[in-house]
Amino acid sequence: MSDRAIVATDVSKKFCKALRRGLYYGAVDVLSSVFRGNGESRRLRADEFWALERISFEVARGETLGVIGENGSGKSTLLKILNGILLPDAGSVLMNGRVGALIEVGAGFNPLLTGRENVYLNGAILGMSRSEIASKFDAIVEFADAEEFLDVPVRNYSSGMTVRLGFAIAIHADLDILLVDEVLAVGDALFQYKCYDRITQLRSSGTTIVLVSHAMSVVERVCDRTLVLDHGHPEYLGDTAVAIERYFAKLSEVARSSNATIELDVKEVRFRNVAVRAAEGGDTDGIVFGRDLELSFDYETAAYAGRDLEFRVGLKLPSGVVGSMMRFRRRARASEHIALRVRHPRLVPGTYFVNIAACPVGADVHLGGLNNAATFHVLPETAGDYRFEYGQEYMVLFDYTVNGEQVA
Amino acid sequence: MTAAPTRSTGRAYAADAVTYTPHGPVRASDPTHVPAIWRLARDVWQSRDMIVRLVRRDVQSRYRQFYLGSVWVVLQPAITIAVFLVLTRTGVLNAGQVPVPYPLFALVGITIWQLFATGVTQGTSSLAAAGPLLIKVNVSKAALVVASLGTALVEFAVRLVFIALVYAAYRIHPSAAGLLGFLVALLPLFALTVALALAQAILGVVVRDVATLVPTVLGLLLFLMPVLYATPRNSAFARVNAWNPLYHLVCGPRDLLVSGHLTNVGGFVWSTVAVLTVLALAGRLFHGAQYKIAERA
Repeated sequence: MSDRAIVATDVSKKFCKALRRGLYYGAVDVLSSVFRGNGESRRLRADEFWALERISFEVARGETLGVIGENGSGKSTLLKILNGILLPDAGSVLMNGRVGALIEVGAGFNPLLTGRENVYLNGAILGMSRSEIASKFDAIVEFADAEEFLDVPVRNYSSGMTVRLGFAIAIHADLDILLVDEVLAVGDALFQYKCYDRITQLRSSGTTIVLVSHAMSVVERVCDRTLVLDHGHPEYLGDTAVAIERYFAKLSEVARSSNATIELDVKEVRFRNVAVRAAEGGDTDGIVFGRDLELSFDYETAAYAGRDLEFRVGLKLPSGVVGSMMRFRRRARASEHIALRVRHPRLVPGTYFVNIAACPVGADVHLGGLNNAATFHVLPETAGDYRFEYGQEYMVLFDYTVNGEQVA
Repeated sequence: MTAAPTRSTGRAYAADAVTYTPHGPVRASDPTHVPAIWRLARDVWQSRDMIVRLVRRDVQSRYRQFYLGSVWVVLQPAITIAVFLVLTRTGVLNAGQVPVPYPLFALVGITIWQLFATGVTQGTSSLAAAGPLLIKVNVSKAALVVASLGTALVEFAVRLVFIALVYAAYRIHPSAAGLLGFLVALLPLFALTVALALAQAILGVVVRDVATLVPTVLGLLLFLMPVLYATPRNSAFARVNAWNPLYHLVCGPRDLLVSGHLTNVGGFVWSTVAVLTVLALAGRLFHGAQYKIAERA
C-alpha cells in the first residue's frame, strides 16, 4: 500500500484553437482510437497547443495541494485529468483512492424534479449508493439549508440555492481524494464559511485535497504545498507562501503590461511618481493584510495653485471594480509631494491598482489624473493582531494622514 | 456545524487505485484481455444505481409537464393504429391476411417497433444531451446510453399491459409458449438497439447531424417493413425483406405472440448472429472513443 494518494508523471494535454479543425481532429482521433487504440501523442498538429505540458507531482495521503495560476494556465484541465474526465495525451496519473470532485456542482440536476428527487439523482451520478444517500440525506439538506424547499422543483430555486444543494451533495460523498475547483466563490458569505469549514474538517480527517483557486487567502490557509502553473507549464511546486509570492509577481507583471497607465485628457493638474509601499518597509513584493501602507505622489498645477482642490485616490481591482476611495481637500500649491499613510487598511488580499485624480471642490469634474498609476498586492496574514479570516466581511475604512496631518 | 464525515472503515486504498493513461483508465484489478463490450457491461453494472435514478428522472420529468401524463404512452400507438384501421376498412390499404384481429396485429407490431425506434432515437442523442454531465462529472458513458433506453423499456412495459387489455377485449389469448417465445425473441432486437445506440451516441457527439437524421430514417424504415400490415406472399417486396435483418427481429417476436410460431426460423437465426457481431463492433467503437468525446461534448 502506498502513502501517496496522487502520482502525476509527465502529464501533457493538448487542445485545438480552431473549432472546425478541432471537430475534424476529434473525428480522426475517434476513428484511430477504434482501429489502433488510444496512444501517446507528443506531436502537435496545426492549430494545436499544449494546455498542459510535462506536469509531474506527487501528493501524499492527507496532504492538501494548492494549484494556482492565471486564467488559462491549465488548472481546470489538470483537475479534469485528475478526475478522469479527460485523458492525458501523454504521461499518466495514478489516483489512489475514491475521488470526489467539487468541479461544477449540480451537474445533472433536473429542473422539473424536486430538490428531494435531485438529491437522490445527483448522489447516484456522483457514485453514491442508495443507502449511502439515504443515510446522509438529512446532513445534506441541513448543510444546504434547504428543508423548506425540498418538495419544490429545482427550476424554481434561486441560482444560489441550486449551487448550495449541489455542493452539499458533492461534499457528503464518502471519499479519499477531493478535487476542488473554485467553488468557494459561490453563495453568500455564510455559506462560503460553511464550505470552507467543511473542507477543513475533511482535511483534518485525512482526506487528500487538491484545491484550485484564485482566492490566495484560502490557498494560504489550507494548502500544505502549492503548484504554480503558467501557460500549462509548472512554474513552481513547493512551499505555499513562496508559490503565492511567485504568482503575485507574475500577476502584477502581466497586470502592468495590460493595465498601462493612462493620463486623463484634462491636464490642469498633473501627477507623477505614484508609489505604494509598506509603511514599515521590508515587504517589497506585497503588503501584508492589516499592515500600514504608504502611498505617495507628486503633483503640479499652474492654473489651480492657491485654490482648494479635492484629491481622490481610488484603489481598483484588476476586474475594473473600484474598491475604495480616499478623498481629501487641500489648498493646492504649484507643485508638492504628498505622502498618505494609511493605518490598518484591511484591504482583502489581492492585486490593486491606484487611480488618482484632482477635482474642484464641490464639482464632480476632473482637472487631471492618472488611471492605473501604480499597482500593489495585499498578502493574507494568518497570524498576529490583524489576522485575515476567510469568510468574514471587511469594511474598508481609511484612517490616514496626509504629509503627517490627520484627515478626518 | 455539520457532523464529521463518516468514512467506511477498512476500505483498502489499493482496490480503488486507477491510473489514467493516454490509452484509457487502468485499474489494478483489470484483467488484461477481455472484449470491449464486456468492459462496458461491467461499467454499466457498476453504475446500476445511477441508471435506475436516471430512468426514474426521465420518466418522471417526461410526463410531469403533460396533463394527460402517461396516457400518452398508449395514445400514440392507438392513434397510429386508428389511422391504419381507417385505411384498411376503406380499402385504401390492404393489410393482408392476419391471424388475429387487425388492430391487435398492428398494435403488437408497432409496440415492438417502438421499443427499437424510441431506444435508438434516445440512445443517439443521449451523450450529446448529457453534455454538461460529460465534461463535469466522471460518469460511465455506457451507463448514460443504457439509461437513455430506460424510458423506451418502461413505455414498452406499459404498452404490453395495453396489449393484454386488447386481447381480453377480443376474448382471445396468446399461447403460453408463444408468449414466452415472444419475450425471448425480443432479446436480439434489444441487443441491436443497444448496439446502434452505443455507436450512434458517439457519432452524435462528433457529428451532430446524426441525431436529426435518425428519426427520419426510422420513420422511413417503418413503412418499408411489414410491421403494420402482413407481407404478401412471394411478392418482390417479401423477397427483399427476407434479406433485412430488422424485419426478422421485429416480425419474429410478433409472429410468436400472435400465431405461436416463427415464420422464418433461418432468417431469425442469421439476423441474431449478425446482431451479435454488430454489438461487438459497436462496443469496440464505444470503448475506444468514449474518452475522446468528453473534449468534444
